[in-house]
Amino acid sequence: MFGTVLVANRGEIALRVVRTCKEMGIRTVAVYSSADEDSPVVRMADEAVRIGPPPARRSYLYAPAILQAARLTGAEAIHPGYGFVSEDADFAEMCQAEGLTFIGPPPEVLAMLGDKAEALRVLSAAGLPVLPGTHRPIASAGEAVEAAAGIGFPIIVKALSGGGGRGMAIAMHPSELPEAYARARSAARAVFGDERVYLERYVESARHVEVQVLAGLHGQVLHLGARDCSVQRRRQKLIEETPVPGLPEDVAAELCERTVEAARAVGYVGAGTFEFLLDDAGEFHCIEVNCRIQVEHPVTELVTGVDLVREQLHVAATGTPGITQDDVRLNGAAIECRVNAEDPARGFLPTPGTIESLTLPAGPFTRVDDHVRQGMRVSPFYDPLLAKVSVWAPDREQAIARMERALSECVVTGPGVSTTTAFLAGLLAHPLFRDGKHTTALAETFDPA
Amino acid sequence: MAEHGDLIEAVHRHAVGFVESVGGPIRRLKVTAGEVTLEAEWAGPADSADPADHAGPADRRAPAPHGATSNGQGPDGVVSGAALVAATVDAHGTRAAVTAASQGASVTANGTAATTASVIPSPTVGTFYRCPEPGAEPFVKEGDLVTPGQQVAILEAMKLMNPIHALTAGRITRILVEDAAAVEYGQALFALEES
Repeated sequence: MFGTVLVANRGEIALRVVRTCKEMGIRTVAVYSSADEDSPVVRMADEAVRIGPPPARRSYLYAPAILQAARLTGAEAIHPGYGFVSEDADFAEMCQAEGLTFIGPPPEVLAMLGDKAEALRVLSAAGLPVLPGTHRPIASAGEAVEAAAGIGFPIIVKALSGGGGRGMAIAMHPSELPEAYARARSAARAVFGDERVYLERYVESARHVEVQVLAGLHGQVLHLGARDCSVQRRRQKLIEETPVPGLPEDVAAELCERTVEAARAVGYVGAGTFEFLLDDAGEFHCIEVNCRIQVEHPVTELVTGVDLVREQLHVAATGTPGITQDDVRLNGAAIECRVNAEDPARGFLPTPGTIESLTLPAGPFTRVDDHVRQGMRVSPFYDPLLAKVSVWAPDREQAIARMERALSECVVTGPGVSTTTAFLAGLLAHPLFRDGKHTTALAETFDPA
Repeated sequence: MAEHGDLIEAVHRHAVGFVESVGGPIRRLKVTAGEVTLEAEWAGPADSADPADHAGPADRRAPAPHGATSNGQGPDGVVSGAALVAATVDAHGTRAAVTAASQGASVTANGTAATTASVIPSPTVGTFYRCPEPGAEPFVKEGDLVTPGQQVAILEAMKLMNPIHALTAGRITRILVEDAAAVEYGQALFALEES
């Protein structure tokens, strides 16, 4: 096992990774921007290195500073968390060149699956169903119109380097396609610095289902069940749960097995998530692979008892997972809610600022992945995630009741600061959510008032 | 005593913001933090920035000076000189007062409030941008008329670009924040003369 691991991230995930490292007796190095010097991870890690000013491109995305921090502190491996450099093939390659272990898939796999269009070709070839689409970049609006004929409307124009719901535009009818093409292209250029886009059939109403896999270097692949993340707003997940409500066990098991085969076929290594849309007709369509730990991994940890960060470290250090498929037993139900600093009453306006008081949930079978402390300033430079609240219960109904109880304990105050807690509670109480019949449309159209 | 220091600092900051938002020569400004009163007296009129106008003929509209409450009622505001603001705290440290005198305090007492001065505050903590994208024309310039709902700026917070809209019709008298500056929740971004 590694002696020292550097965590190249911030917020709750940096703290979460450091916590597991501590449990494993691994020395930790935190890196932080000047906006995060009050973050608890800076004190909890054995060592902390300031790597730059608040803008991420000059700190958490700035590879030379991260690599220098690793050199200075004698780190052997870098855990990238999620976001930032976590799926950056160039960064993984730079780590290799420096003799550092990047805790994630090898650079070739990141590059292949990071190109969203190529990923779909590869996944399709690996036996997973994918939506009809071009699966290659489109060079002009004219070419888009031509290609659209073979796909069918509605169509979504997506950035090749995209992710997180950005750099995309929807055309409901052929007449809207040239404009959607132009819009997606300019957004892709602005957000990802890569204007290439491709077309795909747009599924308006669907469930978001994903499979957690864990893979070693030599084809040892196992799954840790499926999660449902259908409660989304602007493609940002708000509530995640496992098992997938209403999905028969044999159907879920078959999906997981097919995913394991595909992960093996594409040479996947480490912890990863294969994302699917489940349409009204009951068909699965693989949409992408997230080559990293997911925000919502706690729900899987709660029903399996497996520490996924520990497994990531195990694969990175030894080449094999520390567990086998037989060790994975799915038990009970778990739900996670993301408590964000946003104001639902003002169109989900982000509300960073100084936290005057903070009461986070606690109690039986309640897990909080936190990072904010009283008096700390939630920076306007990063994402609005204040805390992840996760609960476990023997079944979904009890889990929902437990989550409602947990959210009711959550109070965060500060000048101008709002949270999404009440909005989340409203979603949990919604009849469609209660029945497990909700789709990705639920949170988009839900009005808590 | 740290709390008193904070109080003075907060009062000072708000007073400066208010003076800037009025955008005209303030004669006297009284701020009481205890039971929250804000009194202001200023001299108008001023339809142009020409100092000569400040001593203009007496046939200008209604008599002045007049007071205003903290809703920011103000004059035909014109920016004229820097405000001098001083903060004091009484012996018990329970009340803070701010007095302000502007360089324009000696101008004629004539003037009226045909319009109301207000500010467009920042709805959240973030980075203020005047232009839709780098190098582009700003959304609004000083002197521009705006209509309710018109976008006047972008506030970047947590990787989201949030549009800032004018809530009322009026004229932008002053832009109070530099482009790309960090702003706080509630900070005045624009001084507006409502119409």
